[in-house]
Amino acid sequence: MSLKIGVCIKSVPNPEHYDRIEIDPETKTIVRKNMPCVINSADKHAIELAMQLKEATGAEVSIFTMAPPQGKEQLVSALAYGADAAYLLSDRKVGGADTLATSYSLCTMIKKVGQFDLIIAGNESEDGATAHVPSQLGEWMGMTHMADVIHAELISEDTINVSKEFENGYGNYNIKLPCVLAVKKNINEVRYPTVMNMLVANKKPLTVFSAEDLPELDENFIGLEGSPTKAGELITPEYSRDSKSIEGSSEEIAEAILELVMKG
Amino acid sequence: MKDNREIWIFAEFKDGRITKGFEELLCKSRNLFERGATVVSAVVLGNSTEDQIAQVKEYGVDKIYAVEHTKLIDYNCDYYKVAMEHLIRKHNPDIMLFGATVIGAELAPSVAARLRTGLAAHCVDITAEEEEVSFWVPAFGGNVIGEILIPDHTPQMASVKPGILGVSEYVKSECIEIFKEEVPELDHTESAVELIGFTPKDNSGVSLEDAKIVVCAGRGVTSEETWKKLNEFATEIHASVGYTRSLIDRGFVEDETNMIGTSGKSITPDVYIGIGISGATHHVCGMNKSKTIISINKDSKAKLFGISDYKVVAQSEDILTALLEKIQ
Repeated sequence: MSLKIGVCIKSVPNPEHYDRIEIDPETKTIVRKNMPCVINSADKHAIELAMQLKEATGAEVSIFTMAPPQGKEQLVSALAYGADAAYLLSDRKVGGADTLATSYSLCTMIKKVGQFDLIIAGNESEDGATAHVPSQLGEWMGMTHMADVIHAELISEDTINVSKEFENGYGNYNIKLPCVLAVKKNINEVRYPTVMNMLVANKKPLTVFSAEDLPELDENFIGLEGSPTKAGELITPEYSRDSKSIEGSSEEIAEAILELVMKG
Repeated sequence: MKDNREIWIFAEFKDGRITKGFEELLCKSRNLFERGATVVSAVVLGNSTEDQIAQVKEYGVDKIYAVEHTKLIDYNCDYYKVAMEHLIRKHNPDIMLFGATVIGAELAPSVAARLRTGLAAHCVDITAEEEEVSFWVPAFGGNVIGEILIPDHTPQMASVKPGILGVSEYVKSECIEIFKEEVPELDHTESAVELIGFTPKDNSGVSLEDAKIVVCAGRGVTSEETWKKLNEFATEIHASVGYTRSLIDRGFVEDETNMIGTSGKSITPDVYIGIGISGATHHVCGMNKSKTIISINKDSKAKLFGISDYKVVAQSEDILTALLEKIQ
């Protein structure tokens, strides 16, 4: 029987716009118009790892996300890399979720779809950047999980060899499947989708679930209400300083810099 | 006003030494509430914890909770989370803090999920007004700081980026109670994770977080020659070298070890010299607390100039050459 791999992706506002981000003074929320959504970049590396494992073992790859209905676009993009099927959970009831509620909702959808041997996600999203969801998904699924993964290779039917990057070195582990892995961007180079795969992406099965389709969802753990963390104020930090220009010849500038360095 | 509130800090050790972020968390915890008594405690996990307890004691916490177990000899999330969950369920701290390190950033969300409580990630600050605690977290590459509240769940959990809070004065407690805790669940917990080996990184020289002077390279460092000169210059002035992601993209460095910014390290040196750095916010977030900021860039519109104390509009390589000539 072939390995079943699930990949969780997140649809995020394009990071190219983050330096010009605005907060609506009335609603105190981020102004999202003019910010098109893309697949979170670390998640593309999760898809790439799944594709490599598919090529090596004939694994079946399913993509999961929870998003507004437009999230379908990112799922189709994900299918264009060569994945087999995609699933979207989209419902106001699950909206406004923090990482605990998001991971719970994802878990419920994944369990509904079937049993998976391996679940892969990007280590962190570019917008919220908490890096919580993969670990918390592992907890809800009852699977062991590992973050900061920079290498992963199946060494037997039920064991994956994984390297994890720490501040002071690299740990190497054998992990028994099933498990959840959160991968960093340096784990692999993401391929370009082939023309063939792009053409068939739209024809691959894409299932959209509402909350009603998942009666297993416990209302206590979903959406804004089910989120233990609540969002308060939003501020745009101010970092500017009065800057003095150092001018002159390269030698004069070098001298001035060294003087500042000496002063500390 | 609550009078017996308790804040816990996960004490993390690297190569046998307590990590730098511990004192920052302790200092923040001690000074968080203006009024009422706050008990600040440390959690120590390991195979044998005597030496770790001794290190924590020097910082002056009120209580230490220690779990000794052979399964805790090396970090393994499957065992560490069980020990943490047990301690928290037994003693009910009000606030539980972790450093947002590789270990903390994995352990904290696991424990929070098991306790079904809220966790604020990679905080840049924690503040309190009366009893209401606000956790301030960066989002959208640091362009926005959001306030996270955890009103109805305990413990309120947070991970804090090391190097960001800094250490100011705090009262060291002399009254230390040490609780050696048994966690029977550990005996019958099995992990699917088997450690095969650990390869240390080559961390020669002063670590970036401890450096008094940091020279940082950005997109404007385009040639191997300039990169080499920048490193020579740093060595000459006893500075550590940091960089932005573009240096990884160019292949000048291998990994993110000394990358500065929201997804890398936070630094607070006396002098920061940015060379060829545009100043995208995700980088600025990791260095804006430097005491003196000097930036060199040929692009007079570079954003980093606006947050610098001193700016030099020039070719980086020319200035580096002149600097090396002056020193050597």
